[in-house]
Amino acid sequence: MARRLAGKVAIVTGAGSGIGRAASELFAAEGAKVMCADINEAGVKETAAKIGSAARARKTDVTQPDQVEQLVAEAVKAFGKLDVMYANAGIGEAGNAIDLTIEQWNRMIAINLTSVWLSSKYALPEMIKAGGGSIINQSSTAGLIGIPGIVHYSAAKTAVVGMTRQIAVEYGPKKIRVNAICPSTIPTPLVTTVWEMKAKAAGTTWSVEEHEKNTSEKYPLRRLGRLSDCANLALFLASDESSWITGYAVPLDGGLTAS
Amino acid sequence: MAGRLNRKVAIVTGAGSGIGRAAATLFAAEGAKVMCADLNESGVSETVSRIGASAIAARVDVTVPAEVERMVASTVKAFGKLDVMYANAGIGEAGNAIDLTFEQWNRMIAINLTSVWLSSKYALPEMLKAGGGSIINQSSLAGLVGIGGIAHYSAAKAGVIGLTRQVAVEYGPKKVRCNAICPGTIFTPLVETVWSKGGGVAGGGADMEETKKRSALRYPMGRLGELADCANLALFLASDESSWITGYAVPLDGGMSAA
Amino acid sequence: MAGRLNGKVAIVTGAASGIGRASAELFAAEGAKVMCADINGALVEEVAAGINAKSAGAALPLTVDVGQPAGIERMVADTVKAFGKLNVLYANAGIGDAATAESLTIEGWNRMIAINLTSVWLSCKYALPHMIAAGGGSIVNQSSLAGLIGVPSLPHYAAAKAGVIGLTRQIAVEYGPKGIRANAICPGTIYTPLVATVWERRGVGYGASPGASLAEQKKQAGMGNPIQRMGEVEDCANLALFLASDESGWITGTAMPLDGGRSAG
Repeated sequence: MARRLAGKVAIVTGAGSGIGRAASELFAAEGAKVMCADINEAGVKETAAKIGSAARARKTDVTQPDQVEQLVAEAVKAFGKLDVMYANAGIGEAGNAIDLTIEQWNRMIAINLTSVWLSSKYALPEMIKAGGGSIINQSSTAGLIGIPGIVHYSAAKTAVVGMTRQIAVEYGPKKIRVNAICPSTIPTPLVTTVWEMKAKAAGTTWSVEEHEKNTSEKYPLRRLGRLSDCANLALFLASDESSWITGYAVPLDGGLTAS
Repeated sequence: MAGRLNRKVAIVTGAGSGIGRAAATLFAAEGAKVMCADLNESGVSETVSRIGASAIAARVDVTVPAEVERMVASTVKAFGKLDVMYANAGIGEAGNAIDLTFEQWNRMIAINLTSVWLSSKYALPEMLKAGGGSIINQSSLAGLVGIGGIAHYSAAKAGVIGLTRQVAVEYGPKKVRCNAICPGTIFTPLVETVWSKGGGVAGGGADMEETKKRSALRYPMGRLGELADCANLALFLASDESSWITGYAVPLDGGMSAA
Repeated sequence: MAGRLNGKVAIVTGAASGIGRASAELFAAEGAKVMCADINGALVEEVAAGINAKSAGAALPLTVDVGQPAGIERMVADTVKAFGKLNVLYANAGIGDAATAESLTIEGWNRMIAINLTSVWLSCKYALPHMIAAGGGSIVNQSSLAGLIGVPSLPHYAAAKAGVIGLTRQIAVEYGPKGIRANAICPGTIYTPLVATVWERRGVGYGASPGASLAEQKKQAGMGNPIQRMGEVEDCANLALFLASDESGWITGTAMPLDGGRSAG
């Protein structure tokens, strides 16, 4: 077996479902010990249970500094060190620049941007102790290009890219790498819930397959993303195979942003 | 008179000094009526008294939605409409990802990112009424590339770019353009503050002249930026000369980001 | 007169029509002396005559094939001889073509690279010493939206235009210390004679339905960007003017999209 993360300790936030769960499972399968964090306690416990002894679960609100601090402390206590932080937790929400409320704005910034900084803030000292590490921040296609209807999401996700570069430049000399993943549409529960809500509101029937078919046309690769696409990229960035790649926002989008 | 902004109405935030004052002055010289807004009341009164009858002053805290709303309303009341919003107000502050406090982070996001969205939120309806407009958002070289010592600043400034692209894509069909300016180091009072505390490309420090020289050498053009550089670019973006340019984050950096 | 290029000497290649013509006219209107160069000698003479009718002595026509190095060297030398110096180079001359990566021939590839990329480097090569002697200058290189993102049927065009961006950044970084700025313009679809030729060869305009009228084709081509219109030659001339003038004195090494926001979304 490849064991591409043999001997590594990773934290994955948003590990209770979707991309976070898929990444946690893959990291563990490749030999890592994984601390799985999510605000959804049942979900994250299930992720850890599926993985087995290589994983722990912890209910965490990543917008709270003390909770992120404790998350890192517990991972180090359980597994001895920290090598990888996959700051994947986040929310989606629609909103245009005019109608958005300040409350919606602040909530999006807190969950999709501030939490990503907090994850780095507390992970970095441990990685420095360990002599290096890899931080992976979840951004989005919306962090690279403009998309109608998601103004606060776009601001937050683009800010993640900026911060990724900054931390990469500053902590590179300490052998810490920081990269961002910018996925386009991957049908996760978070995403399909939105599709379902929209279809209900419009009074139409729908299916994931049909929605996929209709939206695939704009992708050069003619398909939406899969959980495994994102997990594989996160694995590559987490492992030593990418040890000269840092400060980059990787588009994971079937060629969308190249076109 | 040249009149490149003839009959246009503009708001410039952060107009009490530095870049904002230079831009407001140039806009007025090119025929615009200008609302000069700043938290610093005496500074912005000074700007207006230098410009003359084409300008009015307002004390505005751009982080407060009601104050931004009132700023736009006052402008429209005084000058009849709104064509240009130059969301330039912002702060600088040094701080690395580890040592930043939660309070420092939130303050930076509020002033350098949230306020930019608020400026668009309240300007857009007026521009839609006017049949179009030009929004210019102040970002930074730090929004494009990683620079040591300014983690929260970088996140906010990159967020501004994401916001800019998103608004451009969403409101382009309504003839509202939105671009960002990404200056490298223009030696203003704000920059001096950041450098005296150790931030910036050259690492800051006590000897300001030495720091300036060292910083200038890092730019292919061999010099720091000047207020006129930024004011000229803002003028171009505000005017109809750039009416097919939108969604772009223009590097104003003596070639730094090209290297 | 506004005079944003007062006292400057500029070369504009591809000046006989479209973007080049609009730019040459605008530069002259803003006080520059302009060497108008194009492979179409008769047409570029008309353009220069039109400029001189408004501002006597502002323009000189020159027949140049930018695919030939000797022609470019002579173009720069003639400009400096006639006007005394060189401050601005707008390397705008270029061709369009339609082919897929598979159908493209080696001849088609080489021709595109020679005219759209090599000629840009050559124009810079001969312009730079004079600009350095003058204490500084501004180079504006014509790239394309296709240099930034992938667009159908233009593999050689994309390579050349992206190459122009790389060349531009490199020159900006290397010659910045000598006061030379270099920026690229990346236009989306502007309806010029060049574009008309490409549409004719394709059989139809970008994004349009076969059989549509020209007006309809232009409207449909314009829908692909947030501002929802095609570009006009004035859009490009205005940007070239800004980049040529001292107003953009701290802007260098950029590849500026001029595309109605197409590449932002």
